[in-house]
Amino acid sequence: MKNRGKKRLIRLLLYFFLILCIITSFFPILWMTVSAFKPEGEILSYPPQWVPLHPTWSNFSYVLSKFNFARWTFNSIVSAVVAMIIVIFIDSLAAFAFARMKFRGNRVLYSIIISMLMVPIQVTIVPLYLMFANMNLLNTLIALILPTTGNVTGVFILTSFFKSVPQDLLDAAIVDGAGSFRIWWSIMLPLARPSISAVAIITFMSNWTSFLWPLVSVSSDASRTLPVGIAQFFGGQSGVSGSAPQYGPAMAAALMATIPAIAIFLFLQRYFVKGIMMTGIKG
Amino acid sequence: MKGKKKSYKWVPYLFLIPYLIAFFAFRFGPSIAGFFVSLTRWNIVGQAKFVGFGNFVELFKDPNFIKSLVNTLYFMLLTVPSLVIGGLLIAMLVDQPLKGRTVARTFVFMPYVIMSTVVGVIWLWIFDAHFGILNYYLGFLGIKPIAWLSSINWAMPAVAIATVWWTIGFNMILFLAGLQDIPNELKEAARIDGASSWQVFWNVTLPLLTPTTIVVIMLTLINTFQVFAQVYVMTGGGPSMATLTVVQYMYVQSFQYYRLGYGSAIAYVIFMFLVIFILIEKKFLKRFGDES
Amino acid sequence: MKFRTVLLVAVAVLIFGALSMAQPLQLAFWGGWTGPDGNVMRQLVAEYNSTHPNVHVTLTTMQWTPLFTKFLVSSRGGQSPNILAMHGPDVPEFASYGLLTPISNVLQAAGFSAKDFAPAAWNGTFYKGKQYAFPLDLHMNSIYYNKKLFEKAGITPPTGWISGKEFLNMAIKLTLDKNGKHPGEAGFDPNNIVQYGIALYSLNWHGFLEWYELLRQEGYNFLNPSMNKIGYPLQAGEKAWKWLQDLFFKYHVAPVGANSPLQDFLIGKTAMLEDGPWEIPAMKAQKGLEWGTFPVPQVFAHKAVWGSGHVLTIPVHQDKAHMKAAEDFVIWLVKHSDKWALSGNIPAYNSARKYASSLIGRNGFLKEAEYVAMLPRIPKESQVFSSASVSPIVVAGQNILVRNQNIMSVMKWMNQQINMILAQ
Repeated sequence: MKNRGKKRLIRLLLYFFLILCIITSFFPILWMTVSAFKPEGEILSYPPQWVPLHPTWSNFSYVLSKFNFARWTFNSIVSAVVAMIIVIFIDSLAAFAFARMKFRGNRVLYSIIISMLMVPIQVTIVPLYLMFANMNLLNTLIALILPTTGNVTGVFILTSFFKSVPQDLLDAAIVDGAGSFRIWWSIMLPLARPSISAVAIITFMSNWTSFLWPLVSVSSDASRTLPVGIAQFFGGQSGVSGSAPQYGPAMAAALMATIPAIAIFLFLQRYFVKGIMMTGIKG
Repeated sequence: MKGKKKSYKWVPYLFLIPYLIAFFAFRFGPSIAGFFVSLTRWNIVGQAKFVGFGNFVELFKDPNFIKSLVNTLYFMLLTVPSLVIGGLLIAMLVDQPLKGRTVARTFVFMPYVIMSTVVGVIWLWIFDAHFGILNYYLGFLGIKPIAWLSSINWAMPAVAIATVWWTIGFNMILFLAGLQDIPNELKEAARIDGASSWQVFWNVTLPLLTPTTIVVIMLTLINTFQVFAQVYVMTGGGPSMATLTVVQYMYVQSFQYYRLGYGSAIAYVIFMFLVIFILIEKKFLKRFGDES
Repeated sequence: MKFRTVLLVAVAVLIFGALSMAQPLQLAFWGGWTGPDGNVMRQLVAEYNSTHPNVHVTLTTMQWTPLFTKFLVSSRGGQSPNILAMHGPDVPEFASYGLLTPISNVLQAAGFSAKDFAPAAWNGTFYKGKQYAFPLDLHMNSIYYNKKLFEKAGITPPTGWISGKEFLNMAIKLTLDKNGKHPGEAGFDPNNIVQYGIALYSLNWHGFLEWYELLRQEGYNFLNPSMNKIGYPLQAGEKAWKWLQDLFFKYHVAPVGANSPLQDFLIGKTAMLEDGPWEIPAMKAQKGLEWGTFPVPQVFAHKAVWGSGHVLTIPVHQDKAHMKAAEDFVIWLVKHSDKWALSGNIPAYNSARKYASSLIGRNGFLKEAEYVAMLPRIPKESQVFSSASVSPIVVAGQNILVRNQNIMSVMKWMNQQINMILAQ
């Protein structure tokens, strides 16, 4: 009896924290959402106005009619998805080698790669630009995709996860005579589904919000991504920019820009399920 | 078996080659080029002038740089513990079989996908001393308005709060993936042996989570040391350089003062510091791992 | 059969040729207008495109800082835009890098001369005696006022220049604490002010600019004539800072450490605001706000106000055809800059400026047009007059106007820092 009461209390407490998490993370976004539906003069009102007095679609129609928003969204989605797929593929191959194979220079090579995490990415911008200018690849989606494929985070995370997969699962497959590629494809990848989807999410999002590289590498509107496109009509801090702030369109655009990213997130987070044992036995 | 393995010595390299090509071309190469830039004086458009380690010498005499370094360490002190521990707690929460956990995962992660400039406006609206909503609601509790972003004492904590809100989803995702990798059977076995929830967490979950924890701590250290966007959009580094961070200083020198050589030198000092951090972290965690 | 094939090919070639001939020349135009001013420029560009079918101009807007970064990096890769907007004081830096084309002959050929433009705007286009830019507009500080709050306080808003004393009295009358008392009255509570007289920038580089215009009102220049050292007497600098600092800490007529003075003014927290004409669209958008402008107060002997101006430049790295087309577009733009006044900015071209006087709220700016004091034009502008947080002028403004520090010691530190940058 007592135990059940305690369990109930714990459950209640858990739900309380769950709701707390939802509220604290959503509350600032709620303001963004509400602001997107307000006319400009109402947005920074005081005291805070949670329901728009004169709700309007004008911010959305402004963004969609004056700018090539659909094109930017398309570019963002394509470059982020393609980069994500390439990264998962090549990073999981490399991580498999680093985590489970013995070869000359394993540790040295791995250390060199990890050390690059510690060099701020901004330092690569100008050299990368000159490189892509030489290859005549500026203003292309390729220029937006390729630099991401050299990322380190994915290899780092996957190697660490691959290391923790129990060796007996792999041994069973080796006894069956499976080659390295078979082991990688039909044992490692299914086993590491949660971590692979974590890397996929992180890679996608870092491309999705990336600003500096897309800014310098792309000039034509046809290959612009969302963050750079939105920067066209939104300067951030007022007073420094020398342009009057225009919050409404920026909020509407930011709101629309989160939708594809959330969809990708929802799609990938489904793989955060416990299914390890089930798929492991198949080998 | 053994003979087979011997004849395929090149197999690991086959696995590595696609990534290594991308890595050396797009990450390592440009970074090394950046190192050579750090040995020069260069405004991007003109001719680079070789100055040896002159930029590094200047850097350690530059009071702004020292200040940015101290500020960054303070920022890490404020954010790293809550990002790591908070990330773990939230991940454990949304790992439970609760209704609405997908919604919670999504919402916690959502701030991470919003553009930095928009995040800046959102937090300006929250923290503003006059029309900010935080002060408005604190007023009901009888708390006097605080000039969050314009006081040298409050600006950094304000940036830290925004950072936790913005990036904790990243750590949550990693921890969640780590938790998923722990077989349920192990936990259940412990429970059947009569272990309490706390004991299960301390003796089973946490030790098995150690590889993930190492990854998360390392990435959090690196990311917070390289904090840039939050500061750039919320305070710009002010007031009186109270929120100036190292990467922001590097950005200002490289892209606002057009001193790319000096900026690159800052990048390589950041690199040195991070290497030291990570070595310390590794030693510390190794000992921690041995004990448990 | 064969004849028909030949014919078909010939027709195809002809069509293709005609199409490629009809393909308009593409011009890339970059500018830093991210607010409603960007819309006005986009409209002007659209008008040009529709009346000039053989040229197509594409406007890219973005905040100035990343825009200039992008410009430098692109120039290095030989990909600079065909037309780049900037401010007068930016010209020497980019000209000294060899990135801008001298254009005095083009201006002459188009029939423009100094007397067609506001002097400050025209002078802002030169570097080392060569002209590198077309003057587009002027934008300077002015005082915005809230008509309703003035009425409530029983004050008639001035229309022309007023003295510092008159201004201060007005600001005091417009500042109210919880009990309706003004600063200086017995029982006034500076910790519970509900309405302030004026919103002043103090956290960003506009704090320095407010001081700079006061220094110019005293008749001094910031730098020495050869532009390689600080050139103003410390006492003059101190007097100017003191006047500003007192508005915050002695008279309590300006809120300390305001993150967004514009918003404070828009929501009626302050009765006045010192800011530039680019905020005019924000004023118009605010529901229920009735506003006007008058010149900044003349605190010292001379009339002077900080200002700057957008100019249009033709970057190098382009072929003759593009350069010619870019020049034609810029000339057209300057001639049609009356409509640019809708962005708030005051056109530099004299005949275009007349239109601005018919628009609401331009009074203050138009009265100031001949007293605009721009920042010194030096090649190290991006470092000396930077708006970044490490910039000595920004830190000095914050230390004096937000943290109420000793003026002399802050100013000496600022001067030393700037001399150091100039000596590098």
